[in-house]
Parts: sequence; C-alpha cells; structure tokens
Amino acid sequence: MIKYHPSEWDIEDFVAGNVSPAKSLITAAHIDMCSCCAIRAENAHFRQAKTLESEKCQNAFDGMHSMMQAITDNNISTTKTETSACRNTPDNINQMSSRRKIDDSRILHLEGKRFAVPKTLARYIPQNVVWSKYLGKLWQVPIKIGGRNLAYFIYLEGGGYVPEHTHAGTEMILVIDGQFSDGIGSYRQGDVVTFDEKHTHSPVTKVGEGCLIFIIIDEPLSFTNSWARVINPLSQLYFNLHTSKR
Amino acid sequence: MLIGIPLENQKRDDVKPKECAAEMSAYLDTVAKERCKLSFCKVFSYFAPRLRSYALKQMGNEALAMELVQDTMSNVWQKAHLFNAEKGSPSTWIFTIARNIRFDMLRKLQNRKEDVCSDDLWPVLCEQTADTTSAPLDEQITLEQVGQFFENLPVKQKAVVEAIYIDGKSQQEVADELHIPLGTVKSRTRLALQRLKDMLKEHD
Repeated sequence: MIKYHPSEWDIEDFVAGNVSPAKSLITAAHIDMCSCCAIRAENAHFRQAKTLESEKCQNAFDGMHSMMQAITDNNISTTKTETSACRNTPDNINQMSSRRKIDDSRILHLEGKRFAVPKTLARYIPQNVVWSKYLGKLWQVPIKIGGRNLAYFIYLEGGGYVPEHTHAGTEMILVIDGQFSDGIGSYRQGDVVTFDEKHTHSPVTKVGEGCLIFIIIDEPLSFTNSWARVINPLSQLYFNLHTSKR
Repeated sequence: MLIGIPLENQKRDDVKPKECAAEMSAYLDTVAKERCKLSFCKVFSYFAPRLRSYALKQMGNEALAMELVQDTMSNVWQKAHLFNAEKGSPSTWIFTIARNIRFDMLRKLQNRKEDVCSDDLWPVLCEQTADTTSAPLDEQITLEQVGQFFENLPVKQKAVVEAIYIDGKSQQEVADELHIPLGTVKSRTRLALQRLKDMLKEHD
C-alpha cells in the first residue's frame, strides 16, 4: 500500500500546470504508480475543464474570425517548441525494428536485477552507463533533467545506510522498488516524500531488501557530521557536482 | 459482487452529461474525418472565447493569451483525430491541450532549462501514446511500412531519428555527438516525422 501521496493541493496544482517541471516529473511518475492518485488527477482534470467551460465569455472577440480562418487554412503550425513526446516513447520504432516487448523499455537493469520504472521516467533509464558505488552498498547514477536540479537513480542494497545528513534545498524522492526507513518514517514502493532543511536523517534498508529510488535535489545535501563530510565519498560527489554545475 | 464499485463511483465527480459534450464530440469527429470547416467553426465559436477568458487570467497579457488560444485551437483543428470521446469530454481534452501549451510557454518565458516538457507529463497529443499496450494488427502493419519508408529518408534525418528512436538517446545527446545545435536536431526530427507521415498518406 502506498502511504505517502502528494497532497490534494499538489495534485490540483500539478494538473493546472502550476508546479515546477522537476516536481511535476515526480508527481507524474507517482501517478503512474498510484491508481488512487490517477483517479484524483483525472477528477482534477475534469473539474478544471469544467471551470473552462463555465468561463464567462463574450460571444466573440476581435480577430476571432481571422484567427479561425488562419487555422483552417493551415497557416499556423502546431509544431510546438519541443515535441519530445515522440522522443520519450521509443516504443514505436523499437517495436518495428526488433519487435521488442514494449515493457522492456521500462525496465532498469542493475547488477542482474530488473526494476520496472514508471512510464514517465522511462526515458531517463540509464543506458550503457556505469553506476558509481559508494559505501559498499550504495549505487547511484546521475540523470540529466536540466535546470538547477540534480537527479539520480539511487539503489541502496539490503542492509545498507547513508550517513546522517540534512538538506540544503529540497529533496524529492519517489520509491520505485523496495523500501527504506530513516527514523522518521518508512517508505515503500510508490511513496513520494519531500525532505528539506528541517529534516536530518539517515536512510537504511533492511537486510535482504534493497531499495531503488528516483530523487531530485535542487541543492546538494549537506552532511551534519563534519567527519563524514571529509571522508565520505558521497558528500564529495554531491559537492563536486554542485560546483561543476553550469 | 461489490468489488470495484467504489472506484467506479469515484471515477467522476458529479457527472452531468451535458448535451454540449455530445454535440461537440460529434463536431470533433467530423473535423477529424472530413476536415469539415463548418464543424470546426462550431467548436471554435464555443471554445475560443472561453479559452481567451481562461488565458487572460492565466497569462495576464493579451498577446500571450491570444497566442495560447490560437495554438490550442490549431491543435484542435490538426489533431482532432486524437480526441477520444471514451476517455473524456471535449472540454477536458481542450483544457489539457491549453494547459500543456501554457506550461511550455511559461517554461520558455521563465527561461527554465529543465528538459521536461508538457508532453512528458501529460502525453495528450502524442500519436503513439494512445494504446501502447496492445497495438492492433493494422497498426503493426503500418509500423512495418514505416520501416520501409524510413529507409527513404535523407541520410541526415535518418541518422537523427535512428539515434533518438532506436538507440533511445536524448535530443541533447544527439546534438552533442553530431556536433550540431539542439535546434537542428529538433527540426530534423520534425521534418523526418512529417516526411514519414506524408509518405504514409501517399501510400494510402
């Protein structure tokens, strides 16, 4: 059972298109995994469309007729600035070239394990990349989503831990597979949680059960323990990434 | 058996099927099948003023609002075939198109560099997302035909399409690899897809 959902307000805002791209991405991926939020989002679409229908309106406005004319004469290109829609669904041509099962495009492979990734994130599945390994049990690969955000797929093997840290910015996590806990709560597949500077935690996984998460951080983590900061390769990595950002 | 009933009930808040929805669905259908300008005129006359009023509130600027109305209605005209009355009402469909365009417009205005665009989040205008789980047989045949036509694309376009759709690379990666601007990758992709579409049409 998914325990942590976006709030009603988050969903409403997401559907209205008022949420930042990074947060929208996590929300959309959660909706892929959560049938109850899918229904909430569908209802929100329905409600918001209703308000569109009930907009007060004059019957016509200046230039309305010429606008319609231009549209039906095909003088206006609908090519939007970015039509990535097709880019991120390689299913079609994959299918045609190799008849691969569509589902394969949503599988993330790591160390012989297979994880099904929600379809919104499928285009970020790392291909032919070497995952970095830290602390013996933590695997991570950075994902480019552009902007000021850092995004990663992180896999914490069963019985693993991340040193205690706080957060300089906002960290949004979606649990894709397995579960982890951090003294504040325990988070399972489909859960979406946000951590910020108010939270200090040390995530751990149970022995025998690893956990794959997708995480977006808008500022690097800061480690509360200065000792950890010095010797912890993970902190180094975050700092390196942070300073080398464009 | 009661299983599933609670979900069904939840599915729609207070549905009051408006006659308008049925009427607009029918018009959209005619637009899709016959490119009927008269039907489009009906849809346009109903939605354009409402969209304008929505857009004015959202964008707070007349010029941007008109751009939003125009882009939305152009998509309605050109992509009416993607409307599926079983999935929602015309107003829901048109709202999602307007919302997507607005999302991308705002991203551009705010100069946000995130490589996340509305189609990734709400793939409402994506030709392929319709039913990816089980492509019907006739669609598969079309896919095979696309394969043949694909060979006829100009070399440069083919390279870009291949890298994106077969190797699954991002547009930025392709741009980096081929040492060409991102905009060029985008336009080549668009041209290639348009060309494939045209070839399919001719074939019909």
